[in-house]
Amino acid sequence: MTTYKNIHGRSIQSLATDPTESSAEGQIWYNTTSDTFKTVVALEAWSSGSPMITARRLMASSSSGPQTAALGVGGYIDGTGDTAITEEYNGSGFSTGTSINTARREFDGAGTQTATVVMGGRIGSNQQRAETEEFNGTSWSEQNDLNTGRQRLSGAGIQTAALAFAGITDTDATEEYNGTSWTAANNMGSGTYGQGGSGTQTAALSCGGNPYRTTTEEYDGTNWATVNSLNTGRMFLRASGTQTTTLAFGGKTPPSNFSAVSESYDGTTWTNTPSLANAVAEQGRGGGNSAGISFGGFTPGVTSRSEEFTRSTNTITAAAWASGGTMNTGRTALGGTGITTAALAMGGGAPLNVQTEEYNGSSWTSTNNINVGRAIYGGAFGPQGAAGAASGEPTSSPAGSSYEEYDGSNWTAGPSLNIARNGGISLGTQTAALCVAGFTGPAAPNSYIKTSESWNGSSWTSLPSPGSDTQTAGQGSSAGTTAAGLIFGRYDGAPNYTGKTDEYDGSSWTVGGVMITARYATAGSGAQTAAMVSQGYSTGTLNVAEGYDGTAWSTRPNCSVGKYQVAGAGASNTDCISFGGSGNSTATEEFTGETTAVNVKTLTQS
Amino acid sequence: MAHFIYGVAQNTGKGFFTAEDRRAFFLRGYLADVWCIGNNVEGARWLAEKNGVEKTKAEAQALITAEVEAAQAAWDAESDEYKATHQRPSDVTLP
Repeated sequence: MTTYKNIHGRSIQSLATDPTESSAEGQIWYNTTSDTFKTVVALEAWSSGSPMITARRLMASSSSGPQTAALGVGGYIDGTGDTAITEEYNGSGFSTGTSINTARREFDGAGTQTATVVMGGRIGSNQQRAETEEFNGTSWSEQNDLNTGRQRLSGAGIQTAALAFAGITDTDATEEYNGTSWTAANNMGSGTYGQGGSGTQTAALSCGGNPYRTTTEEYDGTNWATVNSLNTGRMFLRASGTQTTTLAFGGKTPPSNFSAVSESYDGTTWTNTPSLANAVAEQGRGGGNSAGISFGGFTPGVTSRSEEFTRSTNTITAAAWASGGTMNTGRTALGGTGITTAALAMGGGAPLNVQTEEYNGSSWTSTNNINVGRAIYGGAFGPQGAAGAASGEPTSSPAGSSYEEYDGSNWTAGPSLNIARNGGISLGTQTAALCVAGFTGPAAPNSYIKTSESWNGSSWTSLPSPGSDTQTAGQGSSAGTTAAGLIFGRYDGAPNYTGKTDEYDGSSWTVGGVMITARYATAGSGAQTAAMVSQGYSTGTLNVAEGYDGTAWSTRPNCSVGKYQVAGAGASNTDCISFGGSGNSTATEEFTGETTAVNVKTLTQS
Repeated sequence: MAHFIYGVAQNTGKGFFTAEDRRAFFLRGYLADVWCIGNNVEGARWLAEKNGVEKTKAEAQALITAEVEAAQAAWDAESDEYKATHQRPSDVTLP
């Protein structure tokens, strides 16, 4: 029998299990378990990304950061005007950064998310500006101006070795920045504006531009040279990556159509990649031709949407919410605790509810009732089989002090809290818990409880007032433990809802990053450095979700349903659920973070 | 069989359409949360999973046209200086 080795002089590996490393790309092996030949192939596509916080277009972007550390600076909001707002992307979502000093549009940037220089642009009706600002990861500072003011230019390189080229009205001008000042360099071969720009100060790329050009030029640090053209002529597109790994995407094609075209440059030729799902122009950019990002832009109408381009041997399953099991008893203002595969729901109201249900990761099962029916809000804590329910709003009064413990079967009354409260925010276990703030009655400034109480397994002890306004309200959510806890979002009377976050280290509180969307009555879960908040209420019912990394909140995919007074459970911001809520909801939504697996393909035999 | 199905679904961000979705069926987004989706099992399932509402092509086109006309009206109301550097939005026709 002729073998593969006889034909090709090489043998094929026989493996019982498929490789799990992407380095197996291009290899062929024989899987002895499935009796098949297999290989790993790279796939590429644009997929939906988390939305920006503020929809806009014509912003500056950092040029040298990866897909997971992009920066969108300033820009234009139709109907509002120029903005100074900066947003940072961390691979999961956008968070608010430090605003630039001078709001503007039609400018660009060079550098990374934490070391960026932005230059030029338009400031209101003042066109062809030359202002330059640097960002050091914390603050923006004014720097020396461009020699030639312009707008719709491109930036490339890093903060200390940047390049600015093309733009209105000096369309072929090139300038180099050394971290201090700009110096004129040789002009481009042909002038344009609204082009895509990428690369470094000594190896840059310009592609497309007004009027719907296909022209591509390479810069070698001294001169520009025309090279192979784009396949599709476009202007107002964006490009990112190095000179030999550039991705050019979006833009406008004649007569004034928005384009979804995406092309990849390898240093010699442009190749069409799978297109964006949504045609867009004048957007932000980041990454390169193996992992890029397009965010914001104009469609027409400003958009906050983003899309991520990925070329990978890994199959990436994006983070997403999915429908979970239906609760047996729909309810609002319930208590929730535990993890996704062992969660617990209890109480709720109105009408007041005593039902308890356990979730096993797919379905809810009713168990023995809680002793005191009440709206619990955030007063539940602990694992499914050893949970606690503190305070709440029983029928007899607007605030309760009762405490109960669940052993996996039954609820047993324990010592009461020292201060009756509803909307208290609790976290911990049956042997070490904390109940923070809340209200003595209907929420109003004079009913706020500033103190907290700690539970040691046998009694509640009042803690001194934190002395700040951070624990003066309730109906917030919690995550973590009493040694590393987190409370976030709550009703505080000014302006009735807040995005405040506070971290607890077992003895003292410190202020954490502020939620992007201020709200209360949310679903919260996770750990101090990996918390999740979803849904809730501000001026209306919300479906938005955010994740916390121990420092800042960033956006996550929205829940399918907006609701408030909803409960949450889960170990982290990549593995959590929300359930129940307003309208006496019975719905559960399950959140799973992004996962990757090597894209193994079976080769057909003929 | 028609090449596409049309629907309205709100883009909820990351995970709304994945790289695997893009490879499994044609997908193109338009104004007014209108989506043009390859007419296969995976495409139809995607629209259903996203709580999308299927529309006829005419219904979907009408939603888009309304948005485009609003954008065109906004452009028409802009200053000459704006019009000099921003083109009037073109009509959008569904495939």
